[in-house]
Amino acid sequence: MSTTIDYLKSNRKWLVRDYVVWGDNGTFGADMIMTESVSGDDRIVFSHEFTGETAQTVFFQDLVDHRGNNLPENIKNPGIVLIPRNPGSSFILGSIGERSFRIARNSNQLSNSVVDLLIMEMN
Amino acid sequence: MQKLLDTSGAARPTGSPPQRELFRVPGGVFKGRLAALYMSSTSAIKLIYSDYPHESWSSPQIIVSNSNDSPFSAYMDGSGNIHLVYTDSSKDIKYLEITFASGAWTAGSAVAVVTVDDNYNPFFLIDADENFWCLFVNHNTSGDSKYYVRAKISEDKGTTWGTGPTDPGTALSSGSADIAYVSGCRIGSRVYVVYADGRSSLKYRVYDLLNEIWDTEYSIYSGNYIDDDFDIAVSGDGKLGVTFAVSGENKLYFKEYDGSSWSGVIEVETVLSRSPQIAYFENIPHIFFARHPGNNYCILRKAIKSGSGFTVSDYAPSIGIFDKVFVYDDSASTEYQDKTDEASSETSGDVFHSESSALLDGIEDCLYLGKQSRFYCVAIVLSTAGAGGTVVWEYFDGEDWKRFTPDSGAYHFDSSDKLVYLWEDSESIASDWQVTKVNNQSAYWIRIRVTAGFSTKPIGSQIIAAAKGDDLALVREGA
Repeated sequence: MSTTIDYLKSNRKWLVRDYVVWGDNGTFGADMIMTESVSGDDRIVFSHEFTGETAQTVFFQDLVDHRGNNLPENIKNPGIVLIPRNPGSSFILGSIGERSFRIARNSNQLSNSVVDLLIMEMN
Repeated sequence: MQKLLDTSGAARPTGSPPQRELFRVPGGVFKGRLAALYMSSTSAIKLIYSDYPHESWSSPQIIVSNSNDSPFSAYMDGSGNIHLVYTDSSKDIKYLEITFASGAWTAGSAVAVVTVDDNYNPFFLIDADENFWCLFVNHNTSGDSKYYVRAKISEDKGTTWGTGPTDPGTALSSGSADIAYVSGCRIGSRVYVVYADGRSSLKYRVYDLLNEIWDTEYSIYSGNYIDDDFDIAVSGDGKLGVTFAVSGENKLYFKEYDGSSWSGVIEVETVLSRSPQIAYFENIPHIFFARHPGNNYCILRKAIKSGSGFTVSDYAPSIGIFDKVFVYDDSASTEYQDKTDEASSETSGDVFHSESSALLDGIEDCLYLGKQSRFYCVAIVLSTAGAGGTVVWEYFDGEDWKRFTPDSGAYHFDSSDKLVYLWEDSESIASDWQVTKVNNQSAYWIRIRVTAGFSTKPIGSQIIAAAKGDDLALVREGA
């Protein structure tokens, strides 16, 4: 293990400014398992999708930090702090994955929320 | 997201649509954890679990090792315990509690529910008095050889069922020469039992817990053919929703009972559909099903009640017809031809370039498959299989076309019906696959390029991003 590389890769942080939160928490996690027939043994497949048009899944690789750099595709053990930039309330839905997370605004508010995302690699 | 969990040689690894195999822990430290049960072989039932975002799953643990190769069902209670009912190798129905503690499940000992004759397709539920129910189909092999829907109750948490294993339980149906399928639910002080009987009708009966009596048998729908392609759910405001596919009519329907009267029959889909699953979200019925566009392939769809009908759309962006399909003939005067519509239908032999009369022909001819989302499988049906040629499979990595071998192996359009897994699942898709423009159309493109010309030219019938999916099992909340 390279101590220098490990040091450089650990505890990385990114600030994503003025992120618009339009999704709301009124979505339904339509998870299912199913069988896919193939030659030989069948495949057992898990499907995870959200219904409705309001689910907002954020992929790290689609974000750009305040310096203009794209975030990596994978962040190990990420933590996220939401810093409100307008009066709307926003929150993270469920757990945070290493590639993506779900974000939502309060279902009762009509307008989108704007937040800064402080994303940290906890390691 | 579609993730491969395991493979199985069982007849129906993920059960039958009216039964239950996937659950979400309803509360506590492990709230949201999913637990899935499936048949991993012709005799074993396994359990795996996962936390959001479900990118990784636990190692499978064997729960049952002497199951008959037939569908089972389970139920998760409010504490996360799972109650499993299955047909064992002697064709008796067995009950097993899988206790949840400290984030893990532990299987107890199996208890015989019924040992009379042969028994199939069990379903478990708990009523408002906390009695355990097992609904099942009894094949009366010692009598008239008909199939009967029966019910047995345990008032001691599954230790004793009825008066014992030789008690056949209460017959709910009048018997049929064809196997039946059964599901059930509780609404207040009533238990509703819905079953498909004789391949031609969907019926129900109601048990009143207060008066301890069964209501008479009622018909929900009659038609050719109604098998196990049905499901039921209860809304937050106490309505019973039923969805069912009638394969003789190539339609998927929905009906709803408000406790006093049934709604009319509402058409959800008007092409052959299978394996419907229903759940209510904020008292709105959501139906998920496998639509069959032809050649036994399926596209997962979702239907959400809107007004007097349903709004239907694809369930997953990675599965469905392609947004664009181009055939490219390197030597033609018009190199690109749009075959999007032709590729989506099962019409035989209509996907080809008009100048070569082939889907692919000489070196550098290409087939382009484009979708707005990344996809991991392609179903290819040809009216004429190719011979003598070779192709390479490529995706665009942001700078150039990158060659790869599909996860299911090389395929050179030399067999007439081929399901190509480009990658194992959606989680395995190449991370550097980028959107690019082909013939001025932006999409995630797969390019199939000829590297050695064909002596027999392949001609296409249907090309879609779909697999042969069946036996959907929608997640159910512990209750």
